[in-house]
Amino acid sequence: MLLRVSGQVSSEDFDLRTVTETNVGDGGVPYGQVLTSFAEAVLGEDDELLQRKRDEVVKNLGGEAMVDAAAVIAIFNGNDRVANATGIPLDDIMAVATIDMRTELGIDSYASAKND
Amino acid sequence: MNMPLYESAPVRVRGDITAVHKRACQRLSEAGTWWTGEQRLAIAAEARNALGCSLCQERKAAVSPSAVDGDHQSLGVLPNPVVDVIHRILTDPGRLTKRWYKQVLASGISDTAYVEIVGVVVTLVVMDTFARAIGVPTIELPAAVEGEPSRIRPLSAKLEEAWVPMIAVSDAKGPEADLYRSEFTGNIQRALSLVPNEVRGLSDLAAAHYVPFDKVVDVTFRRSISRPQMELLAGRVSALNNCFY
Repeated sequence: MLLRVSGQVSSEDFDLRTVTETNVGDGGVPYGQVLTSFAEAVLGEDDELLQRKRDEVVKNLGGEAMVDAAAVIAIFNGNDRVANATGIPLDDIMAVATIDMRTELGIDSYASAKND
Repeated sequence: MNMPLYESAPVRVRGDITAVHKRACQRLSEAGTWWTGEQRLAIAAEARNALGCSLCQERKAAVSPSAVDGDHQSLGVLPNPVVDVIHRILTDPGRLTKRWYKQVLASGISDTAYVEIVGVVVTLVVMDTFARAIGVPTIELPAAVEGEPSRIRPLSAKLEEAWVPMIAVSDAKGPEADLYRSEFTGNIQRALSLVPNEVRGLSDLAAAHYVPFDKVVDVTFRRSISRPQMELLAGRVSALNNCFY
């Protein structure tokens, strides 16, 4: 996963649990929880919650950052559907590099992991 | 498409995002490879409609989507098998199965038509998710442009481990020579290559929304948020979508 790689490059140790779990703090990523809460609200159905989370992003990181965060959330909401709808396997290099991480985060238990 | 986009947004939207969304809307309204412009817009409209479908909501809540029978609340324009594809991709993508995909093919939808449906639905999802995230109404889609689909199936697409045939990096030549622009081309970039224009469209969106493909392996690339922040968002969204990839 590129979060782990980016941490290795910058000599920072990111807690990857922030990807799959809520309420685990920022995980070493500045404003990590503000951003993940925003993503959850975008994908959820509570419009008032979304407004609050959007405002938190703007307050803490600025309007430009909110737009950039929204853009990433949007493209991956699309990309995930591409992956799930076409049954593409994990790339070989990623499959090898993420064995431990996938076990640790429980990603192998996703229904889409079966690919059948 | 000349209408202004995102003028009512509470914050300034980057010009490249606005531009790519205009191009995406134009693509939706024009004839594709297997569907006409009118049909592509009908697919997009049905994707928006799927959010209010009670069958989809029941299936999403069920232990297994196949445990719930019924009819989708559709707009009544597209055939039922196409409606089911659209609704399933939109509302419960994490539980799509190869078995379901084979049923789609058995219903008479070709693999090429299916891949283009995926491309259209995903294009709409990207734009509509962005609109929701920044707090503006979804884009009003333009009118259909007349024209016939090209109906060209790339000869180099092969069935490998994915459900759908894909073009290998080494086989992207001739008309598909422009398809992959990075040394590292993951399966996500090849996924829709049975309909090359859908790859081009998704690449266009990704370059503005995320990272240009030639910068994907550059983990120092940043926008107003850092690359780790971008990757955290990407990972969280994928976890919420139960996306293994």
